[in-house]
Amino acid sequence: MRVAHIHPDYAYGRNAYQHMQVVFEKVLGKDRVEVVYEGWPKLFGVTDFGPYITSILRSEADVVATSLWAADWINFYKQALGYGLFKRAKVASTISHGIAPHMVESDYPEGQVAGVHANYYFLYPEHDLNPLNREFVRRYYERWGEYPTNGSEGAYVSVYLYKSAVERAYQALGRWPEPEEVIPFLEGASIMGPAGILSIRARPPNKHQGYKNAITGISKVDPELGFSIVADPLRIPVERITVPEGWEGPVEPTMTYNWIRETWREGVLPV
Amino acid sequence: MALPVYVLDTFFYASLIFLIVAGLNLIYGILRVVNLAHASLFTFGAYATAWITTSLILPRFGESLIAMLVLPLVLGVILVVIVSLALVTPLLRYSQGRGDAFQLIVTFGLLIIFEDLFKLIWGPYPVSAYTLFFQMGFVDFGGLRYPMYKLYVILFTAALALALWYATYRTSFGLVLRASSMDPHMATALGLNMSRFLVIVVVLASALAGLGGSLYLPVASVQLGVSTEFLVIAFVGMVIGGLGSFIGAVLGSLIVSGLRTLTLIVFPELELVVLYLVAVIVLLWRPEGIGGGRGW
Repeated sequence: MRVAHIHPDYAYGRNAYQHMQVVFEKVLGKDRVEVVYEGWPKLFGVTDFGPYITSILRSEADVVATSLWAADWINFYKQALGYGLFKRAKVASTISHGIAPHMVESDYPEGQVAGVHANYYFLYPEHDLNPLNREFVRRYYERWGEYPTNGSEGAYVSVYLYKSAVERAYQALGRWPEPEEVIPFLEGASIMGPAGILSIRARPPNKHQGYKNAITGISKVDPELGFSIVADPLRIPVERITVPEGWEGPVEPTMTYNWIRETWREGVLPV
Repeated sequence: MALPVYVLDTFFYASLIFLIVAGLNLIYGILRVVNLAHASLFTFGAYATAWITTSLILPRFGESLIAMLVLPLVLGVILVVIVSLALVTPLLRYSQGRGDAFQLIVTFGLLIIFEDLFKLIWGPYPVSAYTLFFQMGFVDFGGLRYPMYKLYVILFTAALALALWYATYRTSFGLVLRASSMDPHMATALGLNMSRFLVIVVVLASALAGLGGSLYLPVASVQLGVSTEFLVIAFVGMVIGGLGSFIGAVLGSLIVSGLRTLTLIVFPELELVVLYLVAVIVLLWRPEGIGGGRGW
């Protein structure tokens, strides 16, 4: 598989490159993956991606792996449509659909790997199966006139998680808790939100990090909604793809990277 | 085989930079003011074009090619010129002859004012109107494909540059322009009304910048920070090409764009570094720029 990488040149982009690459090599086998191009546009610093797109075309890549987001990605994909990039290569994005849903317009090519942000996309869990998500999306749309993003859901569920921790602290202490006294009630706590379960890790590595199960999918234009959505969702339990509690190893570039490199078996999908 | 596409992209980017640098050089040549806010007029042209296209043109004319080609451009440029006359001209006039530090602070302040104005009017999110870009379609050749719109921009700007060249070297207006940029005091002594001339020059420079923004918009979205992105490149182009000179604007924008494309092909992360490096080399070796700083 010939991979062309293009990521914004800062921590997130560099991390995305490393993690995508290490997983490509582990799951497909190191000798079956070839990086034919690396592009590092400055975050929100490049508006004309012409030379980047041309270089990717020239590299004859099969897959374009990218973590470009927001305006960068919109500029890139619109310009790439003009150059016919999507006819030559598939795009695997970590976050193409991670913005306000209506902003990924109906000209977005179908059949590309469409990533979302912070593991929430407003259509999943499916509304007919999950009334919490259905009601959240419905009420959000009624109030704001657009569909919720991961930020909306994150803000919503975090407040409720904090509320439940304060309530439990109050019950345990018999009085209104100080902020520091709420911390033990957040560690290891979890709550069911519109996105599914949000849990807070109690022990290192990544102590106090929030986790949700991962989701990604394939881009498709929804005729009713009128914009490009994430379809055929792939849901992965987050503990399959992130460094577990209690694991010890090198911290650079990330512990998850080293955990994957050391513990995953070659040629095996971890799900 | 990708070479013609790289070359075309270089000319496209050079077209946008030229439209900014030409204005910068006009203002520097005549007023001896370095206008840090000039690229903001480019951005304003882009914002105005997006707004005009989405709220005035598309609802009224649908996706009519002619309407989308002509109207946002013309109306956008007019808007930019009005804003420039209202906001920019008085401040430029005031900064004349007050020293470099003063000019830098005033024009930098203008830059910040513009950024806040953009945020106030259009918000912090990107604004776009890609319709024209896709409407014009693509041209396929040898397995590669190139957007027609970019070809249009290249040809349009080339024609404009030619018209500017003609105006500069073959008309009496151009003669006055060149004379007053070489020696403003002498020009006044010979009876030129510098005050009125100044306005004409600023209008021309702003129109060019606004045109640049208007031509740029269909290709990408515009948001806060675009001004700075283009300002930096335009300045490097100005330095390399030659301050205050027309030939400098042409050469500077072509060189800067060529260097950028080359660096992006070979070593993408070094894009800005290479440009600054070349600017430093030019300043050390030939401070008046490759085009020569003999005025417009």
